[in-house]
Amino acid sequence: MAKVIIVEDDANLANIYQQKISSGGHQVTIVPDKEAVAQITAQMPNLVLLDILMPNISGLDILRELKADPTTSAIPVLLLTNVAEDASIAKGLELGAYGYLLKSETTPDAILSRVTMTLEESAPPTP
Amino acid sequence: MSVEEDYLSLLTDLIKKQMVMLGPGVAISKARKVSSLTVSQEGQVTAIAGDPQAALDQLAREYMNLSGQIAQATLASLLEKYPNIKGIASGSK
Amino acid sequence: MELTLGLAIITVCGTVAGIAGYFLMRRKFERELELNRKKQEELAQKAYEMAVLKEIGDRIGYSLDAQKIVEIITRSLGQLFSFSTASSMIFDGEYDKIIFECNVRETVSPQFIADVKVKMLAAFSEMLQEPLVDIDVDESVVGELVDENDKYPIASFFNLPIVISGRAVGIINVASKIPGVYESEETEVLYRIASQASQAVSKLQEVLENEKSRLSQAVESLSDGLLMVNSKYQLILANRRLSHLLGIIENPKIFDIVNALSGSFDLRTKMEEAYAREGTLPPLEVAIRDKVFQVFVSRVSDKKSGKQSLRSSSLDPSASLRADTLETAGLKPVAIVVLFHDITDAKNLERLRQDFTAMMVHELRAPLTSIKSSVAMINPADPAKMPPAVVGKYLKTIDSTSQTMLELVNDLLDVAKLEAGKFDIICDSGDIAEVISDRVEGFRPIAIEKHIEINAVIEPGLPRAWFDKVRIKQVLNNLLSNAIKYSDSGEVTVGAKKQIVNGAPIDILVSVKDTGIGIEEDQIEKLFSRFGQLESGRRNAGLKSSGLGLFITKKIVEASGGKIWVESQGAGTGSTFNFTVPFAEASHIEGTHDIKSFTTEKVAQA
Repeated sequence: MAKVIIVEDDANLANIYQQKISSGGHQVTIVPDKEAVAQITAQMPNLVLLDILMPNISGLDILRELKADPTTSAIPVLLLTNVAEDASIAKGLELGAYGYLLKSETTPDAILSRVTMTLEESAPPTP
Repeated sequence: MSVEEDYLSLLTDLIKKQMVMLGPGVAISKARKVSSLTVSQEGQVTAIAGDPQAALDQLAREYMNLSGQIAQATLASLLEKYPNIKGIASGSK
Repeated sequence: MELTLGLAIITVCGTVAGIAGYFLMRRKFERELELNRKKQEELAQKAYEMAVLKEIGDRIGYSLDAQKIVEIITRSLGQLFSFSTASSMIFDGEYDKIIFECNVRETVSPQFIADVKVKMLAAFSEMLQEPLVDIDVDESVVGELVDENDKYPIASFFNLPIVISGRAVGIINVASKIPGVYESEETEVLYRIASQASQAVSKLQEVLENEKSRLSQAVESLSDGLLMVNSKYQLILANRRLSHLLGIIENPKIFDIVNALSGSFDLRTKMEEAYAREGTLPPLEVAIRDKVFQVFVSRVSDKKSGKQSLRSSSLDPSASLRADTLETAGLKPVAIVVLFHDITDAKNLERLRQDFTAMMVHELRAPLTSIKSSVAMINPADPAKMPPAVVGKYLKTIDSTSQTMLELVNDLLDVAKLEAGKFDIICDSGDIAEVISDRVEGFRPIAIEKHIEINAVIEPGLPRAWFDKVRIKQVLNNLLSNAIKYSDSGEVTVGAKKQIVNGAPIDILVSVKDTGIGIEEDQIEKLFSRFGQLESGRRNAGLKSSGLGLFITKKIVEASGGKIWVESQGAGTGSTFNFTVPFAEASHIEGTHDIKSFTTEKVAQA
């Protein structure tokens, strides 16, 4: 059971993702872009799904802040984007994102598998 | 200076200037075309018979036939020295 | 004896008569001869005049050089009468000196020539009415030899002043060792020639001045910046537009221009390239300060360049003519022209379009993603497995999302039609109140959901209006949906009334007033423009829209013969959108339909 935070302004999509990921047994919260950094720092999730193109704050700026703060820098971040060759993806990976997903190409099931996989890969080694 | 003398002086000046500008032969030969004037070989006007203004008009016109605006300009600047004498009747050009 | 006497007397008388008659006849004959000869002379003189004038005329075609005129006349003199020297003196305004050339026909002493020079300078002084002291004189002597031992001074001379366009430009002097030769009528011929030539040149100069001023006006009114530089890298011309575009003073020096261009455009290098090539260099895109230019660099040739001075050629006029012909055949590049074409706006527009397209792609893709994901959640493999409530929820999502997409696509299509000039407005007379009430009711459910009151306030007895029902509905839809979208509470009021100007009703004023977030003053300008949303960076959280609605609304209102504008006090104070609809005229009501199509070059720039 992991804590997952989704930062996505498209309400429908966010809901769908939340639905799917919770069905995998995780605890999912949707957070608006303006409060993203604050909430993530407060809740310390195991994984963050971060949309890049958002109205108020750019996902990349949020990513930068998260990685700059040692408290949150270890949290794996999966970028959500619509465009495959976007330069933002490259930038995001440069900034330290764990990976990225193409919203339009990824079914909710695939999102769940990806989330699960990422959680497994990034889980701290069991003593 | 009487008006008569003014005219003699002005006409002489005019001829002398034309002698420098156009050459003595031409200047004097033109001056002598004005029948009412008696002109010496040096360009001195010694006598005017009849109306001096008419003589001035005619002389000016003779010179303007040759050198156009230059003659006019010369005459204009000369006239400044002789306030008693009016300019020539315009109507040329 | 008497007979003999009588005969003798008759004979004598007869002889005397005969002789007298003969003499009389001869006199008459001679007089006629004299007249004839005079006439012939006159004709000869006229012919001579014509010939000289023609030659001058021919040469004027090549160039308007006072110097040439003087030279031609001087050289033609030989045909008219005898002289020892014929000289010309010309005032060179550019270098502030006198050019003196003396053609020696009969050998004279150097003193003779010096005297000629003195006399000419005196005459020139007189002409200019100012003393010519200390002025540089470029002197050249051609023709026969000069002999120190020759004793003859100037015995007679005359001067021909040359006046062009009111300015004394030169003097021709003819001098002779023989006294008293220049007093007759023949000299007058030359004065007439000189005067006519001067007048012709003056007139031509006037024409040239006119052409020059027209040309420089044309250059000044160019919408592009233009600069012209000669082979010595000196600035020949820089028009006002160039100064404006580069942000430098008017009448700049080459230095100012090079400075303004430094870092963006190497003028010198480009000039050298242009020199080496025929025609124009391929256009370059250059960014200078905050503008983008297309720059064309081209070499220009002057057909009349490469001319030689006639002074160096001989006294034979025909020889000079041959030389002239050769000169005109040679083309030598003399200048480089650089044209600056401002494409900043075009580039900006291009960028906006690209951004816009990118944004639209995103706006369409996101809902599609939503729909696809929603569908995936319903488990297409076995939908019966999902609880109906859940399925219902997802179906609702799919429905509303596809509705959003549909609206966006419709807007995009409308704009495409506007751009292509295929956007049709079909006006008819109708009752605007009816349309308004209908739309208000249409939006009531949504308004109620957001706890917003929505009302129509319509002035009773409104006359029939002239409008396109479908399109005006579109306008009201847009304005009402905006009003509700951008308000969290309060009320939306649609008003309609007669607009009265100077006591007379002119049209119907419809207003849509809301109590929502309002519009800031600096945003109002871009509100109705096509790329408005991009330019003002206005993207309110959660309020997705194409940004094209108001653009299309404005086009519809204007095509229907009305105007649209917005009033708002600023953020948080709500806004009122107003538009006018014209009255239906009597002719309209008879049922004539008015179809207007939009030709839109302007649409692309909005």
